[in-house]
Amino acid sequence: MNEVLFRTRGLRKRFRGLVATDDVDLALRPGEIHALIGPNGAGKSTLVNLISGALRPDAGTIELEGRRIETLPVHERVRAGLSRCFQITSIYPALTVRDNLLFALQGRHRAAARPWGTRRAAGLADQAEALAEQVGLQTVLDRVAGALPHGAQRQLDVALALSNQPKLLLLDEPMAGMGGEESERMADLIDRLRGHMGLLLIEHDMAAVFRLADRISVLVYGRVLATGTVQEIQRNADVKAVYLGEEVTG
Amino acid sequence: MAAILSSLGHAEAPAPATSHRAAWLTCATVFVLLAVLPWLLAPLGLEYYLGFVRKLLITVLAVSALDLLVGQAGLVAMGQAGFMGVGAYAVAAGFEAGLTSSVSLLPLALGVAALFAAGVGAVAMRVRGVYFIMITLAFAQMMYYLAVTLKNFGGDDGFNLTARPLLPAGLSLDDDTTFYWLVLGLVALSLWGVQRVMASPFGHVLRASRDNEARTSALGHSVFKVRLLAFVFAGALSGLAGALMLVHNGFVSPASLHWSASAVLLTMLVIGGIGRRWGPALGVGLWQLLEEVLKQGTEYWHWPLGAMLIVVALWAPAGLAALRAGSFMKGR
Amino acid sequence: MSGGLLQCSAICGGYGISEVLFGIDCSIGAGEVVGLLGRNGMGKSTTIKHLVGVLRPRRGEVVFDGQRIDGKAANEIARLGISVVPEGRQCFPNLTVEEHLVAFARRGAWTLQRLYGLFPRLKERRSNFGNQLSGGEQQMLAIARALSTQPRLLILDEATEGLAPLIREEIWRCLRLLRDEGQTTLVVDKYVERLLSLADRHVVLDRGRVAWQGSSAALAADRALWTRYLSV
Repeated sequence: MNEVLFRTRGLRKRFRGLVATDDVDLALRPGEIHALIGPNGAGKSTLVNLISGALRPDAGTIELEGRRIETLPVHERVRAGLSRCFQITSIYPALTVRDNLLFALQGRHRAAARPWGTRRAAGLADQAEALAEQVGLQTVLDRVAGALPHGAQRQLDVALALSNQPKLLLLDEPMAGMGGEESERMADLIDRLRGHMGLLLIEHDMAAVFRLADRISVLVYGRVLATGTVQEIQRNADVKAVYLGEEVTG
Repeated sequence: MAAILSSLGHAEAPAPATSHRAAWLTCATVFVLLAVLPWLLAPLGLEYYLGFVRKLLITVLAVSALDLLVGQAGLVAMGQAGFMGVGAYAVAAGFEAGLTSSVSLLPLALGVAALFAAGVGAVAMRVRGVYFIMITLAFAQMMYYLAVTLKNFGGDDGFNLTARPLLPAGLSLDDDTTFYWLVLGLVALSLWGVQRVMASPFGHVLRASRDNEARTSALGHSVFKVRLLAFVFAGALSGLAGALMLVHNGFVSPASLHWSASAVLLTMLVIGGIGRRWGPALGVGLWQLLEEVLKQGTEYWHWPLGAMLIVVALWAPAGLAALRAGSFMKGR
Repeated sequence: MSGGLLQCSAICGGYGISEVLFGIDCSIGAGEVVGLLGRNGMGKSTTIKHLVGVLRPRRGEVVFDGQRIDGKAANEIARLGISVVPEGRQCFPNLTVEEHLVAFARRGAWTLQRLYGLFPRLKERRSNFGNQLSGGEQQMLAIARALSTQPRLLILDEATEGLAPLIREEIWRCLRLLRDEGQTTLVVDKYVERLLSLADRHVVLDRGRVAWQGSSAALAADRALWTRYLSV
């Protein structure tokens, strides 16, 4: 069971006549950074939502460490070890960075939502600082999250997703809306996560994809056109054709 | 909707230690003052106002329960008066069935209201925003019409409580002062309970689901479950308030469950300040005070209250409690 | 390039606090057809939004026919003569085809007759509502609607996206016709080969910056550029 951390089989989703996801088979190896790319309208968002649980598939299965999760609601998939970052940064802007992290870590404990006592559970404060260091936010712990620059907010988004020590992390366009330096920092962060968990990276930024990905899957009109290493994909004529709008034969 | 609410009155977990201690001191002082009030009023011959304060306390309980939903959970509920009515009618039913002790009647009110809230919540929690408001309103109206059909309890004319429930140790609620202390005790206990729950991990999850539902789910929490529990808790407290109001007034009618009654609760909360510790008290206090004063002067006493609401909406949208905190016009 | 109909210099902007554009410079001369290329997510649609007033540039200037338009409201910019055929067409489901072409029309060369001449299919469907048309027909309607405002600058954002090959050819044919009429156009599309034969110049965006600018001939010659900025 160590070969495949995460797998989808025959995943299908249709919206009123538009087939957004068409028989998608994906497989991720443990510790791998697997990038998902594709031209406009490829259906990447739909696929991410199917995997995270925001949408239910019409057909197909999703497995995490051999366990079927396609019928589980979002919060139960999280408990099973799946975590996600959002394309539009999703944090708690009114809370400080520290409080954001404390809240996220609170979920790790069994008594995560008990209606008595306080939140001073063992070691949460230390864990929050460690998590902040992991993503590079240790200097802004007491700033209100909503006042941080965009790149820092996205780093916080990643931190929140990491808080439950996921087995698979979905990164939905982590570089979106970021300039050169911030992009670099985010790429470094993702690089450091390699090997600790499986990462499914959805991105348009090809430089980042080629730097980070162990393998790449190309999604076109809801179907997986090709999967392979960076070199294999770069040499793939069909992939080039699809991006340039040429007809794909075969 | 959650964004509007959270910008209006940002209810957070307990503030840092120093202001926490100050708040505790204020609460303790107020409690002591209220506890000795009967002895302060008697020599002045103002016992009538004991009833006024008693009614205020019961309404503060109801509005605090509403604030739990509106301020903490970000759910605008338009049917809390319905649960108050459920609590009152549960006491009425228990009384008619032969139960006479507060020890059995008040928990009955809590339990029945909680049950109703569980039923309504299971349906209402499946929708958001405006639809949630409409569903809670619809259920409240259903409860209103149900009360109208209860011929055994007077139907439209309402139910008269012929005697007040008994207390253990031979104490009688017929004594206004004893009843006052019971109300004060129960309300204080309830508000303390709400405060503790909102400071707990559960409270954090509830506020988080208000501020960012998607992220809260993505952190492993069942938002549906957490909101339903809050709804049941608020419903139960509303039921208790309704039961106490029945004993206070000696009377309950379907009109108490009408959606307009729920609207008044919400209005008091908005005026006082959503999500603020003293919001319910200020809102209820001002409303009841004006009502008392204006009723003596004119039969059009609703006008000034309406005008007050407009003034608050335009110039102090975070409510009166926010003015005290110095955050005029802003919701923090 | 002075004398251009539209010039934008050092445009920086994005959505909310996110930064998407980091200094876009480009210009379009009267009568020119310019292609805007780049992978998705690189800032093409965002650039267009900054040009037509949907977004306000944080820095930089947009000058249209000698007048600064950055910061102006979208409807003001539209009245000045910039018309956009948006991504996803955005036809109104409660207006008929004819109503689309009449509601925003101004007096000028593009009369209703002439538009029907350009798109005979639309004439057949004149009383159909916007959501009763096929994808290709909606695209034609969107283009005709833009033309009915007598635009001095026409912007097309992914005008062939999601359409069948035959319909795409028709759209390209129509765009060539417009070019021959002298319509100044900015075209965003991924079909590089088609754009090469349609446009005079091309601007290639990469991660919010202009990575390359040049003539069709230059772009056609440098295939490595295609791989680097347009493909994988």
